[in-house]
Amino acid sequence: MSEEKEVKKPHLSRREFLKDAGLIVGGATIGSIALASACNNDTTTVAGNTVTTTVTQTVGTVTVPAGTTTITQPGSTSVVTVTPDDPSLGDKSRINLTVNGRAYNLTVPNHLSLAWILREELGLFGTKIGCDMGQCGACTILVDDVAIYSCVMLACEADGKKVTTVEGLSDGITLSPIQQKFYDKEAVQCGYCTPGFLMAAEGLLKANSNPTEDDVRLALSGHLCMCQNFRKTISAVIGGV
Amino acid sequence: MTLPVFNVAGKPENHDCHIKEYLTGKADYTGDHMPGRKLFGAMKHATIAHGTIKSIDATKALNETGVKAVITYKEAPTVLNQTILYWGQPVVGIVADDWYTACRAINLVDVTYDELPSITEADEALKPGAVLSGKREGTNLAPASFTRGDVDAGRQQADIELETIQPWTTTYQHSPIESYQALAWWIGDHLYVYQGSQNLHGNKSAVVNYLEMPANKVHCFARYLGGGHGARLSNWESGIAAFMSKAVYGLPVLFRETKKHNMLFHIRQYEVKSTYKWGAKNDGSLVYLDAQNWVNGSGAGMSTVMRTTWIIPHVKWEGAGIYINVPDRGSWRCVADPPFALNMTMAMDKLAEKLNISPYEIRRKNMMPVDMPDQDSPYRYWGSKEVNECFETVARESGYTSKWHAPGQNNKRTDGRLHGIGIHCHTDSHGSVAGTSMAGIVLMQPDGTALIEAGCTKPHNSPTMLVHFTAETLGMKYEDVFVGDWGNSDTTLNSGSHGGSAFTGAGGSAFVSAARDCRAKVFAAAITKTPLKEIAGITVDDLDAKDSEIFYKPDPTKRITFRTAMNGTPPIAGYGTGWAAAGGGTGGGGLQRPLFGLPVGTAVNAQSAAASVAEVAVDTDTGEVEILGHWNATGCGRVIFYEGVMSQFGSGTELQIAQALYYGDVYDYATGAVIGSQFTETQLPTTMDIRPSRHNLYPIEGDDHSAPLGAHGIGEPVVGSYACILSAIYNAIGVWVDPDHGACNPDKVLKALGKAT
Ligand code: FES
Ligand code: FES
Repeated sequence: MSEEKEVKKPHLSRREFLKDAGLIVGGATIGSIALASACNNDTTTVAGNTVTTTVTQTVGTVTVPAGTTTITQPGSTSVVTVTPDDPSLGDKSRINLTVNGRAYNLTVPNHLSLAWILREELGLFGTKIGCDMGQCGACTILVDDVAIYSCVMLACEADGKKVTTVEGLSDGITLSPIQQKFYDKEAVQCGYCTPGFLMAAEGLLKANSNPTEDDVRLALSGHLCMCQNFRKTISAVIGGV
Repeated sequence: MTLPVFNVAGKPENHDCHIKEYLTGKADYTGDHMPGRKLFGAMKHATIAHGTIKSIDATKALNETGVKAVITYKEAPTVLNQTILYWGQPVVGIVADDWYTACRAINLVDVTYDELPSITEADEALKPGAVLSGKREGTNLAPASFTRGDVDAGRQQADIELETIQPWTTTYQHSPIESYQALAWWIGDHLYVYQGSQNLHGNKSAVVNYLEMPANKVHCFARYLGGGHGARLSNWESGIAAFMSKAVYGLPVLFRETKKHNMLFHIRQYEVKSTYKWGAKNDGSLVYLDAQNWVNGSGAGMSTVMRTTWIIPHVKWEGAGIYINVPDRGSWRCVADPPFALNMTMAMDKLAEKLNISPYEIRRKNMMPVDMPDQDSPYRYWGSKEVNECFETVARESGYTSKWHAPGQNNKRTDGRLHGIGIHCHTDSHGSVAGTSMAGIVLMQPDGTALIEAGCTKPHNSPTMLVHFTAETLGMKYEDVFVGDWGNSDTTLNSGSHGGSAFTGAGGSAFVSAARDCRAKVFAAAITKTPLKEIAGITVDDLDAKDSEIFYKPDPTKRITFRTAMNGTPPIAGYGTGWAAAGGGTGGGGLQRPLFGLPVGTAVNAQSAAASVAEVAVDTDTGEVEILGHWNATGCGRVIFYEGVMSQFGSGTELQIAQALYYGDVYDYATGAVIGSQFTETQLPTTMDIRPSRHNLYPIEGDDHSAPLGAHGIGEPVVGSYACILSAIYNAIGVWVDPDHGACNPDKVLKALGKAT
């Protein structure tokens, strides 16, 4: 079944491929991982308002004309329609979003991810970049209370969204309940993946306040930790062991 | 044994002092600086395995909007090379407004090469007339050997002999979630570099050399680092970032590897291939070992596990590191020992089978007994007590001896899968003494609180451990000791490399020494203050301290606070050094300088020990292996920070599972290129692969006179215990799985069963 979506932004990047990779964190990320992997070996050329992205692995060749843009992911059923809302902005978009309760009106380059804008524009470095291609979960944040990989969501898509990053979980002095659980269990090693795990756990607990061990294992399975401390992380979230 | 009672150290209420920074997003890693004010650097990598760069044309890249500069071996001769020695070697750097533009511009740079014959398979390097990789002068091999006794004499004593060939062990890439990165900027002729390195001052020395600058004009910083311990000694990124920044007139540049390239050429654990010829008595005691070992990419740690765990009177141990045209290999967490431990375990299990005894019995028979000194050096002792206790603990708790059965015999479970159980133990060469502990500063402030200042990065547990050590030694409350300046090469002494688990083995002894020095100086100030100054003939030796109060030992009612002692006194700095570099790890003469009251020449501990049992179920139709139970014990010396110990220890046990069942690289042997260059292709385990309730952890306490407060590093040896899982698979199916450079995934299990090719 084909699916159409409208985005009121001009688009000049291969990263639009990741558009529909919506990338809900957890078990549902498998497809997006394959997509992001495929996009890793591409080449992109920009000529005027046209971007041509050639994906050298499995996805195929996509040409994006100026103006209304249709991108089809070969091998998938998703079609994305992009309509420029303000041609004077060129390859930038204007967005309104709320981050950790604070409203922002930003003009963002269309090719930059939400993770990038959070970090480099807003200085919210708690959101980490690991793989930058939807594989590791380090960049996980909540968008409208759902955990997503922010490295594969374009900032221009976040217009009107409510974003929560690890900095927004608490005031930084009194820990939030999930932070406290990680604190009590010392569920940290190098800590680089930790914000991602925390946000995924927060997303889980918003949807299910009493998860089983298997619920937790599944919800965190879209996250990699090279130091490996899963035992403590899982235990922290279920509050046991 | 009665262990000393501590006032501060080891108390559970004295929690991790900086964990909140991780949990609130405040922990600042290398890339977490200068929002909106920095440029970004990315790297193009070689597409040949061996040769020379003929030409570089970056015109198209430089015409790309947002691209600011290109650097090659001409601009950065000390960090980029015209000679190519492996596929994936960095060749051209691009600086741009944002990282994606830099990455895209990489594709617009044309590089041509004069290609030379290359060698990309380790086995090829062992053949006569092998192509030379160019990595070493006139050879691909770096031989090493070790001898004890007389193997020929041992051969005469043997009742049973066995020759086993152990195929290439698992390799696994060590790409941490935080890619390698460095941030550099210039102010005038001063260079500032931020890189999460395990060795801050070592990084500075490298940058000084790369840029050929005076040391006083290079300023290095390292606070947090995102994993990759054991391999985070790389400093090349700092050099690259510095040259990139130079190319853009000193503007800040963050150089970051893509995940793909990070995986391609940053350190992966080397593989080991071995041939063992054993001789044993009928009662199971070993009499000789004649071994050859080849190490793909490194020659480190050739014989440690063999020397430190087992009594073998006659040993000939030969081998060579092999250097071919693939990305360099190197140490990883647990440094050199896991592949050797794996081969040793598999070979020992085979010998046990020939002797018709169990893997437990052959180990029990040949393990170094409690308190046995080193077999080769009087200046070193190993954790023979710990390894014995670890071994017995996991055997007992798992019920190993009652569950073990002859390999592949009578072990079908009701669900049709095969049951297996494996055991492993070893002592290895680190976790206690990194050999590089340099110096620490403990600063007593006029308000009676203390700061510790460490010239190292600030990874997990380390500050906490040092605060425990310092507070205990000073006699202060935990909450009165703070982490001061950290990871700043301008304001700290060289605290050495962050090694040996959470700084315990490395900087720990330096900070205990510094705290002792500081305490003596504060006591000298204290005896000039009321009421102590009224005590006739009082000296600092009459004083002690507890709970941040200094008291007169003969009459403890006479006491003052540290704050009072410091009243009107300028800050007091205590300096301390730990192990001498030439001392600990190698045991070369014992202590090189007095430490904790121990004289020069004292035999030092150089060990950490672990044992593990794994119980598995193997599905012979799918090749899937399920871990049913996993029992792990590790020697800790003293447990100072329990949750931190369990975190470090627990992660080591999970890494076992990753190494045994998941990690795997895929190589194109024609080019030496790593194909599995993404997380998804490297098959990392996730939470779906770990069931907390099946993992049992037993920290084993003891005392270690040469370690800070008796605590030594933990978490490393247990990584090397992944052999127990392979041993368990063998016990289940009765056939050894060939790791074939990777983990025992279902394909390899099926191959061992003759069900796949
Ligand atoms: S999933 Fe976004 S950084 Fe890895
Ligand atoms: S704690 Fe280091 S990557 Fe997870």
